[in-house]
Amino acid sequence: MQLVPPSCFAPDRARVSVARLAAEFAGGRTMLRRQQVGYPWHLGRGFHLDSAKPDLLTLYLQSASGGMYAGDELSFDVEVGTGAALHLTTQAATLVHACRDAAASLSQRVHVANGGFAALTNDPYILFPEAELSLATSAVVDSDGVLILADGFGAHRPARFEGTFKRFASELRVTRPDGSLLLLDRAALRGGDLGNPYDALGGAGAGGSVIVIAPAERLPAAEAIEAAAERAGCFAGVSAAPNDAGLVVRMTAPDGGGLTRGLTAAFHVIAETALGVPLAVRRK
Amino acid sequence: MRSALLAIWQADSGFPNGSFAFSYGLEAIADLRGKLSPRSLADLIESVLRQRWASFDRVLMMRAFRAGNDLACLAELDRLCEAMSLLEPHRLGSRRNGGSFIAAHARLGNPVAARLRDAIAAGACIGHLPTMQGAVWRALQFDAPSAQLASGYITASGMVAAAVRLGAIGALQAQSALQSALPIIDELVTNGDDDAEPSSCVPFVDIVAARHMRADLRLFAN
Repeated sequence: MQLVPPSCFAPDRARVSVARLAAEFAGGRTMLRRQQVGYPWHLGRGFHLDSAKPDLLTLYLQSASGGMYAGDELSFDVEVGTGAALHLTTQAATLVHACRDAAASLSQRVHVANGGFAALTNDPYILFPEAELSLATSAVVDSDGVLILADGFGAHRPARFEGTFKRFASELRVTRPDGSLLLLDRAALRGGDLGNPYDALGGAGAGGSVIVIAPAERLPAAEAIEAAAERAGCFAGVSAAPNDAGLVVRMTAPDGGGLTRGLTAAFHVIAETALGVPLAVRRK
Repeated sequence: MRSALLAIWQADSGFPNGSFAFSYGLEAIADLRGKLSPRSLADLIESVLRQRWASFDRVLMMRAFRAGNDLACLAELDRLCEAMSLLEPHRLGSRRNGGSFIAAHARLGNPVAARLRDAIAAGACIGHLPTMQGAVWRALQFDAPSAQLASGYITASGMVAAAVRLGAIGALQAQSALQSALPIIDELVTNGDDDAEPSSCVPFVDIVAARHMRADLRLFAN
């Protein structure tokens, strides 16, 4: 008798999802002019959480699928119009499951118009054994726009699992509207290259970055960001970005939870200086 | 044979290329963690070689090597190196090191180096080290593997020299770490993809270098 594998053994077609958001300033506050968000994402209703900055729209992005899987091809476009202020953040960390031989990928495109403020703060990607994730972000920021991008990753090995993640790759390209390149941050790391106190993460379990594109007068002191990250239990270094683009924050933490706290602390210091007012705690 | 001799000459610590002023983050790491064992120094060098040098400096140097005397192409590579050097200490260190390197070769009468020195002075080029190395070493008639070996060895030996000068490790122990880096450089040159897009992933070194840049007292430029 010949065994025929059940149909569920056939490889699944990769999930392909495209989401788009457009935020504009209208009627004294930032509103969503366009929202096209489908599975696996769920976008909660918008909040205006900040009494000191009532026009700032805060959106929580959730995953309805339990994370990212082999072959996922997700993309997200965000447009922030003139004078609009948007904070888009994830509701929690994103799990990245074993990817066999098909990496999961997420590509983002962001445009911040003149006078616009956009903060895209992702909780870390939690990389399970054999996970392989590729991130690509392309941002266009007008000369007096502000963009804050925060993300990172942590390696996770549940009980009874062996090994570590396969590969994490990330690319961020930031340009001006005329196409001139401000910065290009491209990195790739294999899980197998970690494992000693002097590895790429200095022996830490998680690593992340905050990239701030803003005029010089809207940037906080490097020491303030580093101190906030340290109070959250992280190790951070802050530097001026190339081409007078803004600031770069690198950060390591013992694990993904610690990195979340450090990135959040850094975000609040940066946003307070960029906007001139402190922001409320984003409850998650 | 001639290319091997050229590589030895350029990798020699006696060549005045300015690298003695750079610690590749080691001064800050020694401040943070104290004495280094041969194993820890070897691990650190391996991280930098694999996660920074092989995928970033080596790739840009090889692009400049292929560009040869094409000034427009070298200027474009310089701008790419600038945009991809996100941390200021890496950026300034690469510029200063490249400037010293090109000045030394210009004074030795290398016409490509003299042309690049003038281009830097005129603002046409920035003068990042990998770009300058690739262009000058091509003009000196290095072969490609020798150029990569020299570049990799300069990185590893520069870290070792800095560790010794900082008193973070003994001279003989440091040589043990350098010796263990040699097969890694060999492997990375043999298997390196010259057409790869440049990338760098050394967050720990980035962090310590950024913090070190604002230190009150420091011996090295980075």
